[in-house]
Amino acid sequence: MESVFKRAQGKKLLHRKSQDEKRVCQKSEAHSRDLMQQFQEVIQHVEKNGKDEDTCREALRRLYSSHESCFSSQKVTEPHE
Amino acid sequence: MGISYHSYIGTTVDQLPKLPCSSNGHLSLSTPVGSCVDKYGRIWLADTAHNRVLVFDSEMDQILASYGTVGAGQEQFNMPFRLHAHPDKNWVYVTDIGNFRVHIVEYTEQLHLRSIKVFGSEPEVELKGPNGIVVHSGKVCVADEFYEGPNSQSRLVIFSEDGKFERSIEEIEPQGGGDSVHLLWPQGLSLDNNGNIYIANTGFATVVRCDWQGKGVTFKASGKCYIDGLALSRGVSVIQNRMLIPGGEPNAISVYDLNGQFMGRLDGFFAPVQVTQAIEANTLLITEPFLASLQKHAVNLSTLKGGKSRATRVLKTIGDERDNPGQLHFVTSVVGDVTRTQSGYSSNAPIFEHWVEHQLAFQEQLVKVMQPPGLPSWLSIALSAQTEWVQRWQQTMVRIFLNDKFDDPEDLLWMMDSGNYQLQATEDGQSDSARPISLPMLPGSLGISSLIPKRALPGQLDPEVPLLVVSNYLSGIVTVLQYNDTLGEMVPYTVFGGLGTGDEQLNKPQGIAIDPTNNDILIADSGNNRICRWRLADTGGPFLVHTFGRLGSEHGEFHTPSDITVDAQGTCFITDQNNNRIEVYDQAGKWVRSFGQEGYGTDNGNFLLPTSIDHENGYLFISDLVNRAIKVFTCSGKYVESFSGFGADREKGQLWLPYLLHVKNSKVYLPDCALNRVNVYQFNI
Repeated sequence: MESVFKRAQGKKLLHRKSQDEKRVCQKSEAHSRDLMQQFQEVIQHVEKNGKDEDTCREALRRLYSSHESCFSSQKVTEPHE
Repeated sequence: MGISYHSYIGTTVDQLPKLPCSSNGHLSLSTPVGSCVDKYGRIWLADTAHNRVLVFDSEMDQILASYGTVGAGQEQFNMPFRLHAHPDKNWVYVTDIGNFRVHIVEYTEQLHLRSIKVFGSEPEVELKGPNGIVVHSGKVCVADEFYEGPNSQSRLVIFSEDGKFERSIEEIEPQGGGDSVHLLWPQGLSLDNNGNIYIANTGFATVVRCDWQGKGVTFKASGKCYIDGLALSRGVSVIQNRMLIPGGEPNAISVYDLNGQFMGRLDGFFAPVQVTQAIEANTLLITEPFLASLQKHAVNLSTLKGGKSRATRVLKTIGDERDNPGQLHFVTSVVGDVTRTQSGYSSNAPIFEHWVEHQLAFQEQLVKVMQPPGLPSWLSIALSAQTEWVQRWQQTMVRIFLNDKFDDPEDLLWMMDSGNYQLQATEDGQSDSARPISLPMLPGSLGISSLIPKRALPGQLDPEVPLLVVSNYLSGIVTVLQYNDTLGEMVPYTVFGGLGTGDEQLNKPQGIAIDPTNNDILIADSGNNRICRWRLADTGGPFLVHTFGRLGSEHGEFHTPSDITVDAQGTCFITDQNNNRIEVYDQAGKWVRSFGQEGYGTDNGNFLLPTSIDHENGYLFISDLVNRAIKVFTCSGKYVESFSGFGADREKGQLWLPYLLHVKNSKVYLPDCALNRVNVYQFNI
């Protein structure tokens, strides 16, 4: 008889193949795209204000609300995800 | 060659004031797993990585007792795991998985505790991994997770209720005949009113039902003696004539009736492991080990049907305070090195800083207390995480305000403190030396690697400090961070990827490596079962070079590639986790060879879920998860030697859930995301 390890591996692989047909959740994919956009804004802030401490702090204060919305938009545990 | 344990990084916060005391503001748990309710309605909790059992009042307002220390003595534990209260006697059974034994702890109404029996390590039994435990009609059944039978199967072990060995069950025989059902890494156990045993059969991701003779008891819905099609099967609880399977679906508890019919799911969890019936009607106790919390939820299971989703109502949560100075929470990866023997850090305003920390901690407690009981589970978990995340922002602002920086940011060991949403760093590697050094990280940040461009990139603020490349498991985004000397923090430089299956997207990225020949960024794209090679152009912009691999078990295929390292010739070594092998590819993405095969062993070339890999001086260092071993190989795949140890003893370098290791200057840095510390090993070549 095939070892238990081999059978468990095979079973997991079959399960994974059946799951792969469902692909990635579209809603999560859209959230990820939003996050990428938010990141681009963060990076622009940092690039513009990298060497000046006061403007850096001000940029960070703005980023605070920006990042907060990033987080709340992620909804990683909302029902039906 | 020799590899030995050296030290650890990560403050342990397990001190409690004089008991009894309030559970609010005094409790930092470390990966709690099992729970039970005793005859007086008190709640017992296995604070597993702290090697102790805690007892609370039924409201979870008060910590009443703490029992056990680390060790192998009569009243000591090494990872107390699952708990089960005897139905009649004043006994609680505690599986002591790292010591391969089971305790019977006797208690009184006044809560005097004493261990009256320790069993399971006798030569005729030799438990290899006692996990789940149930008691019925004078008998005890223990799931022996890491026992290896003739076909490598695990087993159940039956004892008398006072711990005398009776027999093992190594095969479950289905009622109607047919092939035997085998167990692999069984964890949680539960019982129905007829005394049938339900087994979370983790290795096969099933829940098996059998009687005490090992006869499979068929589920009417499937005609089989097991439930199939689960994402994970770490625990099972039969409550209110329903079968609850934590993690049966991602971020949820799957609910079946006892005919095996899927009834629906309870949503709004992270990675729940144990569900226990509380004394109040329609009330559940749920442990979330990786959130370091025990929670009390209200839900009426009898009205859940038709495969629907439902949120529970969260009545109370305790624990989850894991952001004390120097403390780590779900640490997943490490990069850099410890170059100093002493820290050069001294705070500019220690008294003020301490005051601010205190105020922020107080504020966090206040927000938690103000959360009204009865919030839906998904909202409660989101609010708790968001509260902590906002606090990270406030702490960042305080550090910037105080000009609180490392002296030499180019010479640090960086740690991904994923559960606290931040990067931490240390100069000297002392156990309590970790300090935050980044803007808050998004939830799900996981892998990390460092990159030093050959020429400074446009917009790079401090080329002396390496860029850090961070993978995010949840969003699929890879962030390249740079050091901002003005702020003294790591800030984003560029991003790429994003969740999906397209060529330039990623799904559950884990380990990251830099090709030393050309600075390419290689990512173990575990959800897409492939490796992705990205490059930063001279302009600093990222672009995809190529991907290779797809789902499968043949050469050129992967099943959950979790980590990668690249040697000086550009050869890629990949942990192909669920295929239990190491895959070797050339720089063009062409398969070269494989080595390793599935099997137990701490001192051989076998693997069971190899999880991470790095190299130095022509040797590969591989973290072999189930075998809890760091195995050393030559780059041609010849086994050389290992370090191993299963448990939670911080003085011995033991491991529970080791994640992405890092090798530098004859040291192996291995973060353990369940023990919440980074173990440091040293080797001589």
